[in-house]
Amino acid sequence: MINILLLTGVVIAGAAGDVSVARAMRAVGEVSRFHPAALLAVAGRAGRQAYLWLGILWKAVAFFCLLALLERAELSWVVPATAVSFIVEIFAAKYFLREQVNATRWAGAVCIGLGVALISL
Amino acid sequence: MKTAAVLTVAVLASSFGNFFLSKGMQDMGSAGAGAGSWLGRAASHVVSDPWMIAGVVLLILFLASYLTALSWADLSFVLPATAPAYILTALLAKFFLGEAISPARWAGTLLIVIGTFLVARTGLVARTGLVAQTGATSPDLRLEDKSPGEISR
Repeated sequence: MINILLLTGVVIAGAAGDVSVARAMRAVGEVSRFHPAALLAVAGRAGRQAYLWLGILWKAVAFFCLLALLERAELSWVVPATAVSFIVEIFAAKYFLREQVNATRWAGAVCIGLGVALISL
Repeated sequence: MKTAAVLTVAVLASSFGNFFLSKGMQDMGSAGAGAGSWLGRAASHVVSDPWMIAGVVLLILFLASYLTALSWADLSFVLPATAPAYILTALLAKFFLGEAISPARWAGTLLIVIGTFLVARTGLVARTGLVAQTGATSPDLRLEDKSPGEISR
């Protein structure tokens, strides 16, 4: 039960981190020049975005949930179990981003769901 | 060739990274209860235990190589190409952590690998599906311009 909660933490906090960091980087603007000075300027602008720090905080939560999970559960369960994030992403794409999700993707989600059930036996 | 090298690094780094973190967490010991103290112990363990440091470095290397591959290759290629990491991780768990992996767990791991292949299928396949599913409800303007032959490939 605690393992399921921790897995939920890894997946949800990881996804929240991705969304937050993506939002911060969108506000920063496209990175088109790559010499050190330009990259430093990008880092400076990114550092002033609250969403960047929120994203890092979410990522830290996800990381420590992963560590707690690795302490309690077998590696051969933990790593494939985190694949449920693909299922969460498909639902998020469909219901939050209103993207069209085709049949192949749903089939993939079903495969992953069955796979996670099997490794949990 | 460049892509194969970067993706090989990504697969190795993620498998060994998770393996090292697993190894490191088993060394931490569970003396003392309480969530707050656990967090403190885990945080200091991450920066002091060699397995943990190696694991974090490898996960950073994984992220760097994964993002590098994504800068020129499609996610629909990169995602399934790194899926063998699930198999490699299971092998590391079996041979170096002594985990007994049941046939059901092998089957489940394989299904997850297949699932990531399917989830990553986009492009023409996705568009065809899109027309089939939503043609009646919310037509996509870009797709309306295409001839039926183009769409139903």
